Amino acid sequence: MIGVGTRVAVVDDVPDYAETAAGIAEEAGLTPTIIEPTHGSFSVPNDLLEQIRTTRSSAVICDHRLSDRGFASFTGAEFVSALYQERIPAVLLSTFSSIDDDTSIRLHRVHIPSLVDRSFLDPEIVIGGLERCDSELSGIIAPDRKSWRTLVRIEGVSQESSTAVADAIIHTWNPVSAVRFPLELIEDRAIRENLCDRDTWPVRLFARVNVGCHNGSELYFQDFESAPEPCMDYLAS
Amino acid sequence: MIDGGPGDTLLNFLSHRGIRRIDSVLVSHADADHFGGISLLLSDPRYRVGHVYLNPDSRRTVLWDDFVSVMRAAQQRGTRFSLELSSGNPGQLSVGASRLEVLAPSQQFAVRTTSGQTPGGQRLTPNAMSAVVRVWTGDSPRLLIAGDIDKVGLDQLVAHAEDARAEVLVFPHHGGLPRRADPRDFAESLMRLVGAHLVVFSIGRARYRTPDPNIVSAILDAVPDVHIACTQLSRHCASERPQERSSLHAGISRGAEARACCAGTMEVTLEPENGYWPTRQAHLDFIRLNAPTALCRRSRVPTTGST
Ligand SMILES: [Zn+2]
Repeated sequence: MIGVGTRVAVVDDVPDYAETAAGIAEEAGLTPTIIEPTHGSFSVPNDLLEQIRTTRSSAVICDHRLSDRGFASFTGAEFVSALYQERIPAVLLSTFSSIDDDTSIRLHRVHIPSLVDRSFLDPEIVIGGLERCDSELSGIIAPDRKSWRTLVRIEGVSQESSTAVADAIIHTWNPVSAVRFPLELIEDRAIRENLCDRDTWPVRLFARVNVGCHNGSELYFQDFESAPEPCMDYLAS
Repeated sequence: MIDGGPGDTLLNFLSHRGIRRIDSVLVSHADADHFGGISLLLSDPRYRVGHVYLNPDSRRTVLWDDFVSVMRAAQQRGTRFSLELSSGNPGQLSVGASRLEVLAPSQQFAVRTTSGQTPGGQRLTPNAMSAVVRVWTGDSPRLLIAGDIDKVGLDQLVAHAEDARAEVLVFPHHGGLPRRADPRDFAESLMRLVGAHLVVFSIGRARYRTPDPNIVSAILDAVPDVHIACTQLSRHCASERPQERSSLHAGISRGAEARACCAGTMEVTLEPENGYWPTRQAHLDFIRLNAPTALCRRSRVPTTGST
């Protein structure tokens, strides 16, 4: 439960930003502790997690870009995802750059219920974000976070800041707006290699996607499988 | 099941009601705003879907191919498909004590010529080919679901169907402008044909400017005491959304979370009693509070001498 006095750890590599976030958390009635690297930078999420455990915090506010200044060698998204799997509620702060949304954040979006644009951060949003994550961890999934098996039409693959990405249309979500995601989300290596090698498009796959969400940045993908070729001849029975 | 828009509203509704088996699915025409939800249903192995009837999209768009791929996967799990939905096939379907009757397209109209035109030389679009389905309870024509039928389709319906009367009409094309036809004429002839006392517009607040004010006004002229219900709150009727979520939308209604609903999900009961929910009074109360410029409450111009 998130409430007055809940201890919350603030993870941000920019001291000023960390102070701001901690101030907002305090205004929200929470008890914040700013996490600072003790020696060098955090090289694996577990090291940071251990550091947070020493503060006895039961929730976390975490910046996405942790590696720009050598604070950690992983992203905030990866860390928030690790926290989720440890059942610790967290809010991920980003600057809403679409590149982050489509690549490093999308990669872990399934485990990130609360993503907040840091420029909109206020006490109500901090509490709301932590509660949203907490309630998902307790099994209450918000309508926009439920995933469904759906067809995903891949229109092509490319590189975006050294990440292989796919552009896709999910007609059960929005038939006209393309969504970008990292190819790494496709676990099946054969499917991935087939996508990288081909020059004819589209390719159709099935995946589980939260098609009840409104904004493309909220979409997450998991469990990719091949889908049948769209050949009508087989349908008529 | 007849049509299902994109998003997960349909599946949420089914799971809310504990429905896992659907005997027959009719897809009125090949537009994603009508097959998106059906596509999600057919992709979910937890649901057993018996038979799907539809008219294929002769344009072979990538969107249609998406749906074909989904249908093939469902076929492998045992769902059967009929690539014709017309007054000839399946024509009629029994569902419990109710009966579905496909009024349009006629079988003759459903048979495309190679030029993509009707035998009469008119250009075929999915909307012209849209199915119109009537639901009967015993001897009462309860509900008419008109897909996205346009003027070409309506003319065909007038020419071929003996009558198309129904107590409730789900208005075609979400109350948007019928292609190359006067909206008033279109609405008038449809209302003359159907004569419904409840007209439902399935609309989204965020998209398009539906329903068209001329259509609403023509309906009010044709059947003055008609109850008009839009699923979501049109921007024509209210520039602001309600402050709070209304109790009118307690079940599964698309847009309820975003406070975008007007009537929300309209539930028309077929048996044992003929009613619908939300009731006219509950809906009017909501409109009075939240829709200051409601199209359906157009104040009539007083005629001289009247009291
Ligand atoms: Zn439509």
